[in-house]
Amino acid sequence: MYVRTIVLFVVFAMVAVFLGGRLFNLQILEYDKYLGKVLDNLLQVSVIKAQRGTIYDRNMQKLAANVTTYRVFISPVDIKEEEDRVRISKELSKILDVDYDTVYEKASKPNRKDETIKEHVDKETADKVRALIDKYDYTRQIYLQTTSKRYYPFENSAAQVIGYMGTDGGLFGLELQYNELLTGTDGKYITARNAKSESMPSKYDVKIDPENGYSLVTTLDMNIQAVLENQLQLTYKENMAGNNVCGIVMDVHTGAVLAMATNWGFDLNTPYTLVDDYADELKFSGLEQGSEEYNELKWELIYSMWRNKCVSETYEPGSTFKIITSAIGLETGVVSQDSVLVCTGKQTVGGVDISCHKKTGHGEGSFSYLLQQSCNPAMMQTAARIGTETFWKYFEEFGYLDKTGIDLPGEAAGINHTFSGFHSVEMATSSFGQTFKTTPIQQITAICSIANGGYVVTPHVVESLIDSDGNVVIDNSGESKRQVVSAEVCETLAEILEGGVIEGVARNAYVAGYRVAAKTGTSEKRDAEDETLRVGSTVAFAPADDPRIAVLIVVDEPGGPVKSGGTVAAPYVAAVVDQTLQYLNVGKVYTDEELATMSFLVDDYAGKEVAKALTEIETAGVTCKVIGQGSTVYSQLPLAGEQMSKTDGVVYLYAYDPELEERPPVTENKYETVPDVTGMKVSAAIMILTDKGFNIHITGSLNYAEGSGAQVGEQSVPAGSALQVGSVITIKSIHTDVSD
Amino acid sequence: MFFNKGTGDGKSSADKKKKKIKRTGKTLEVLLDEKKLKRIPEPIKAGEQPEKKEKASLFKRRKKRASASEYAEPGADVYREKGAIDRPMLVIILLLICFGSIMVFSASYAYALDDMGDSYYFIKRQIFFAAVGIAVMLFVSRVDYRLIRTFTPAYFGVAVLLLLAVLVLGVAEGEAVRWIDLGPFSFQPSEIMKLGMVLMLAYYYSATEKQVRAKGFWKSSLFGTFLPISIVGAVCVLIALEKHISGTIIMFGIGMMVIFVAGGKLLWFGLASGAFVAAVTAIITMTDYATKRLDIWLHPENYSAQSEVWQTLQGLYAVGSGGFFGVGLGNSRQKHLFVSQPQNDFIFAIVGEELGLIGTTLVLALFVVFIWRCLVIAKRAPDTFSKLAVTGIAAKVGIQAFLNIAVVTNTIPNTGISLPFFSYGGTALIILFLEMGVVLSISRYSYLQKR
Repeated sequence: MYVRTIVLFVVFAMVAVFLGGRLFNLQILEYDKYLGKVLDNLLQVSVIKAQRGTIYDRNMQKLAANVTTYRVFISPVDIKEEEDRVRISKELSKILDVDYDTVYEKASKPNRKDETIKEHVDKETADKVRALIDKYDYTRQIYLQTTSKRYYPFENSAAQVIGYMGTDGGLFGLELQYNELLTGTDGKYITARNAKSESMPSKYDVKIDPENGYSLVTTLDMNIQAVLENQLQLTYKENMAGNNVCGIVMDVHTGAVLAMATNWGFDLNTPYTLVDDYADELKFSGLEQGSEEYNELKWELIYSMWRNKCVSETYEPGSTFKIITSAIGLETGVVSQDSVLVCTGKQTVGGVDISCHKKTGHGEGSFSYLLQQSCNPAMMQTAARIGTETFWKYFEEFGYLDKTGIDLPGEAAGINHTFSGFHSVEMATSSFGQTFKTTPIQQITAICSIANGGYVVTPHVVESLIDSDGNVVIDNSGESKRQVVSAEVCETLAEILEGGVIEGVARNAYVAGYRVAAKTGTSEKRDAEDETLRVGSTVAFAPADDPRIAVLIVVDEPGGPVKSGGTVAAPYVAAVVDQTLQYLNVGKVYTDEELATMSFLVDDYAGKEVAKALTEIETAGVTCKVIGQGSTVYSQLPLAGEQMSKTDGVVYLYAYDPELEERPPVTENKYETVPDVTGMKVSAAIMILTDKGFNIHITGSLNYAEGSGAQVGEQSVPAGSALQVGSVITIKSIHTDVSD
Repeated sequence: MFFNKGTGDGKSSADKKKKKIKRTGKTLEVLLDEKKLKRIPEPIKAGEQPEKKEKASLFKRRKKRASASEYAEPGADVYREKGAIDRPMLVIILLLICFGSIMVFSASYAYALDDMGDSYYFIKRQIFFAAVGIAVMLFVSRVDYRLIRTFTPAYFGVAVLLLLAVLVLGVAEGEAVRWIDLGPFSFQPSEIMKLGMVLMLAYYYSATEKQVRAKGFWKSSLFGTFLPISIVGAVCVLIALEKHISGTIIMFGIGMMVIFVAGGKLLWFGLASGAFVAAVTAIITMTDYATKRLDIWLHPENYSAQSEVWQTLQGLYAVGSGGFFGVGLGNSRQKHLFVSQPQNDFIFAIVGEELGLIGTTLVLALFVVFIWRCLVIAKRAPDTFSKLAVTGIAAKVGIQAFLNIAVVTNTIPNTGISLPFFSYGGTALIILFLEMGVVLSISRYSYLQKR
């Protein structure tokens, strides 16, 4: 017994030693591991979200901002009674417009403390939830958490440029490009929590404040953006662009992008909703809704909608590139503006005949004339004089071989020849902008360097980044990289191009009061199967004598009968230039001719003295006829607020004597039938309409003097209708003879 | 002091015959000389006349080993003196209960506040039960153990009835039904049975000594091993019917240890343990359930969703994160509801976290010392019953303590075993003190003297 008692003790002692060893292992050797586990248990890190930076335009209008929203969630584990569960499910589903069963299912989950019912609830709804919580004292069952949602006040304006912030950050546009800087650094609040997530005494409490993201001050001006987008939409509709249109307005000196748009601005607040055209394409694709192909197409369309055509797509610039070829020619001195060149309608380069758009040829002419007429052989001849090596050098210097480095995501690189493959034929076709592709942003950047005296600038959308106190953190205002051509060459070119607007193929880019230098372009889509597809574009900068802005509009695959850039793009470029310069307070300077053709804004003369009104109207250079007797005007035609051409225009004033109680009836209510003037020369149409006694208002190209070739595109009153003499008929002037 | 007086109040008729004796630490001889006290010969069992031959041989043996008291059959040669209780034992018990109560307070207050709304909920009750328990212990320590022996069959019978009652009246707690609810308090009959079985085995061996020590191998095996094992087996079956696995294991362990010390045949132990190992291996390898349990045990982190495993893991985290010095008394982080009911089975985890390796080693050491002291008392105890009773109680406390620590350190799979003196538990604590009372009562008879 004694021995066995000792054996028993020894067994116990051995077990104790073994357990001691086990404890040594746990508490000493594996201490770190278990300490880590405990801290994992204990420390609850609540993230204090850094506020995402705002995106402003250059007038500090908010383009992307944050609004406070609420997340409604419930704590199922705290819903003890079935009665409460039903009530909570019922009330919440009503307030939040969520399916009852969904809420009930979430409310029934055991051991869950956080089940989201709805996110991004607005304040009004949140208040209702709060009232519900108060009413039944559901403070432990229903919770509201303040969250924030990205909001885009301009909705669909500059959508592709601003971009969209998805769940995990920016998806495209500036939101993507500057995602990191916008995001900031989240703060942390580390507290010790017991197993029920309640606070407990601890020494681990730490608070790290969040660093809010920087805000972007962009170079965009939403007013100019609106102007550009309006014109893009017009040309998209009027010229039935098959592959969309895009445009850029840029400050020529800094490379600041004032406006950049791809048509089909979708609402950034609902970026997954297809715009009408795309929705139709999906609808009529014949694919079964919900099928894999259907979804594939849907996503393809969404991505395509998001794509910024100005930077992510390439095109053959066509004749607009002739500006660059000419610049190289003038800079190297192989041509001057007066050099005489001959166009026979085609040019043979390296044994290949390359034709001019004018098959009959432009004949013999000065370099500037041929450039204004957008003659291909003239360019090929110039290029031949420059030589491939020099041409290539300048081509590179203008930046065509690189990306521009604009601060937008997804910039496409141009598709270019290689130097080793750049021979006379390649150079000849390149000289008028074919056989290589570039992006619209690259093209306008190159044109900017002609406009600003030869300096290559870096295009940019963000001017500066500011912190939450408004201090500038990063200054991104553009610096020119290098001078490519001399200021003199640029001046000469501006003059030639301005002449092109007055007399050349860029006549549709004419803007009365502003001197515009422009070049149109129509390029073949050489990589498309359909050989008739074209890209029409126009690039302009103005004022020509002191350029401030450059404008480019690219119409991809115009579907109308006329596809030339001079028709599908130039008029809209003119409108953009006009409105933008006016907005920028650039004063209009009219020539005498322009003054004569300027429209007259009819005032409200009713109640005025006849003599006074008469003087007023005649001082403006408009004929005035007074009908009836009396000292006071009681009616007029055209009506107040209408615009009319001064030339051959007549304002009819109806006078009466206020002493007399009775007003005489409007006499001479003469009506005339409106003729069809569409397709006529503008000058002829003016004559016909004024002969009938109508007043005219001309829109579109104001360069409609006889011989300009301007035609009437549209008339505001349909032919055949009867119209009172003196009424205004608006006709749209357009140059259709402007092939390039 | 109260317990130093060593007065036998004469609760039984046998006690009344005895003279009082004061314990001063001096040898009995000196005492007797000084106080002129009379030695009173006292046979252990009335009516049983030991044979002369045996007495002589026993005496011889005792002579060889001066202090040996095994197989004590004092008869006429030995004086039984009722002395004071064993003071080292008392000190150890009080140390354990004080340490345990402090830990109950520290471990429970976060949980108590959360669950009961009163940080002091558990400690108040623990102190109350400890006080009652100590009173019970002191009372029992004054009862002559022979009286306890007399009542053993009755106590055992009641325990058996209670175990049966549990099956009918028991309160379910999870899968297992092991509690009897008596309104103001509830208790586990299996706790009562632990003492009951220990006493019963002791009683059995004291009653069948001759047969056990018989020369014949089979006869000795029958009385020394098979019959007592069948007692243990029957009790285990009763507890197993409650689906109380840990209780069954502990009961079995206690029984085996008592039988081993009492002189069970080693051959059968060898065969049994061989069969046991083989069976366990077979079960583990052949059933999916067991394989899974084994995997859970070896890789608890993969099963943290299960509440039992969660408890094991959180316990491990607590112990491990204590390091060498611990995070300081009261500073446990895991007791903040990570370790569920930290005042119960996993209190040792909180000891480990707050007091570190120092604390856990101290607890281990205290239990080792406790066992040592119990076995010393057993060695000095006057007869078979008392020896085996103390041994059994030591086995019970030791097994529970070490199995508990093994569970908390994930050395063995998680099964509900409380840590004696530490885990919160009202009636169990009182029963524990009742057992301590028995030990202390027997310790009074540690002084066997030659006539």
